Amino acid sequence: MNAWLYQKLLLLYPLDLRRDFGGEMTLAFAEDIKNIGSLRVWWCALREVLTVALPGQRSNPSVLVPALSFALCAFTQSVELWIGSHQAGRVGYPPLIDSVVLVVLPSLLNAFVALVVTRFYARCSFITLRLLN
Amino acid sequence: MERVTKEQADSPLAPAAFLILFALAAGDKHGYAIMQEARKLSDDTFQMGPATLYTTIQRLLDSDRIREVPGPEHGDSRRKYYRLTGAGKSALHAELARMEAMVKKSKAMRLRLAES
Repeated sequence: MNAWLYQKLLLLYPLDLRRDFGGEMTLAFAEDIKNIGSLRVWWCALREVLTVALPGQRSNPSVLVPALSFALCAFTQSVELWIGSHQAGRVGYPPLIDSVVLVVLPSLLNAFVALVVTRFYARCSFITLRLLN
Repeated sequence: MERVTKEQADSPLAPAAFLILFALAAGDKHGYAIMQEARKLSDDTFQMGPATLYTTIQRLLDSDRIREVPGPEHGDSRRKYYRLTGAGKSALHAELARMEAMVKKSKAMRLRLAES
């Protein structure tokens, strides 16, 4: 399951890196989980999305724009959820279901819309978005 | 063919590149073994995940500081093995010499600081 998820995460990385080293990266990830535990390895993998994958996709808006859209939406929704739950007098983390419904789902929808816009409308003559060279 | 110029060999290495070259100095290794060795060398202070490891390996391959070699006969066929090249050794030596010089300078400075 961990390796499968990591393979999906590799879609955020540049194509040449995935093509040349994708199999080995997944193998190293799975072995690392076995040796040092999933929490630490997943934390490192998520950090690498920000430090390695996204900088590597600077010239690929169909990955960069949805990823940034997801991150921005998740951040603003998390702040709203946090303020809302504190105003309601709740202490501690909001329930998981609230987080999924109010943070994860809207962020995914936002990323999907951003993906559609960058992939399809970037080629329309009336909406250039200046994403293509 | 070694494409690394003297300027490149003399320029400071990124921590990940330095640790990978250092790990390969002891012999050929596959990616995950390099990752483990790099952790050991840095006393577990440098967190190197698969993405950092393989983007750095890709850069080192492109600059001919390491090269891919066939693995052991009964090894895992999914793994690629890497070896330090002459240019890689020069870069590693240059980096170690730079570090040594810095340590000497810092010791001398501490001495002077203690005297003042």
